Amino acid sequence: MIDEKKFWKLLSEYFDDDFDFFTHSEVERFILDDPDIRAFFHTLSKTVELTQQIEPVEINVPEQIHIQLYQVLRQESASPKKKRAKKPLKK
Amino acid sequence: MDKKLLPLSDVALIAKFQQGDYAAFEELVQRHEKKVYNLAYRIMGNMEDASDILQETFLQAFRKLGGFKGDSEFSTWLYRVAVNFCLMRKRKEKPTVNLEDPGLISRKDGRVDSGDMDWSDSPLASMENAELKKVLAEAIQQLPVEYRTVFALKTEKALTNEAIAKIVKLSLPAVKSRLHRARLFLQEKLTEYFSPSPENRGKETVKQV
Repeated sequence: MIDEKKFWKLLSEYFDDDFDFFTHSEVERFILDDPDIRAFFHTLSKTVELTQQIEPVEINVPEQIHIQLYQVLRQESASPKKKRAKKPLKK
Repeated sequence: MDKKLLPLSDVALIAKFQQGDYAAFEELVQRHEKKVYNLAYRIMGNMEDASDILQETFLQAFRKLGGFKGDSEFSTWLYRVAVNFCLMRKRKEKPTVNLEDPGLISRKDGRVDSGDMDWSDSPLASMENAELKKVLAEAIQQLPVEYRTVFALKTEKALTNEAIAKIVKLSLPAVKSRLHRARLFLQEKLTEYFSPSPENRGKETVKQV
């Protein structure tokens, strides 16, 4: 049976599914005994669940930024500094 | 865009670039710019900074890719560069937050406030609830940048803790700790939202449940 100290230590691992079924069950059994810990644990579980449901909103790179990026990189590729950087790679 | 480059892997493109093929580098930019831009946006919280980070990241990639040995995936390497620029910029903006500051997360590990409300079964505790979605989004932006970075890599990029550790150059336990504290911070914000204090909007709605 895990104690309170161990419970807090294991909590972050619990949400990363980083331990075995036995320890998992022990954590769940532990929370049943204390209503405050139970509330805390349930709301933390729910928070994790909600964050896992966040749909990644992919923003497109604004056209102007995209163009600017390519311009800067082309300038860089044309600069003498780049030629120096590539020199050691030639065999 | 050079169509001959499309079927090539990142590794093959890097090899071509290292032999002097600039088009190969542009193909790498094309493939990864959106991911880098979105990561920077999540961490920095605004498009202007995200655009600067995007540019700095690919300029750095252009300059350093000659020495890329392929020890990690190109995307991991690129994220590491982008994260570095984000953190450097954030640290310049204001003094670094002390991550051990007890005020950061009032309910720290090892202590539970008695009488905590269990809102986990509330029908409002759902991503269908637009208000809660907004509260959560705002709370994520309030996370200290070090936590937000780890959190974004975990939730948005679905990376493993090991991959995140490589990107942010931290030990695995440190990554887990930041992730855990980020979750505690968000839990606290959501508990505030559902709290029955008069100033919190969740009050009436929770009671109705």
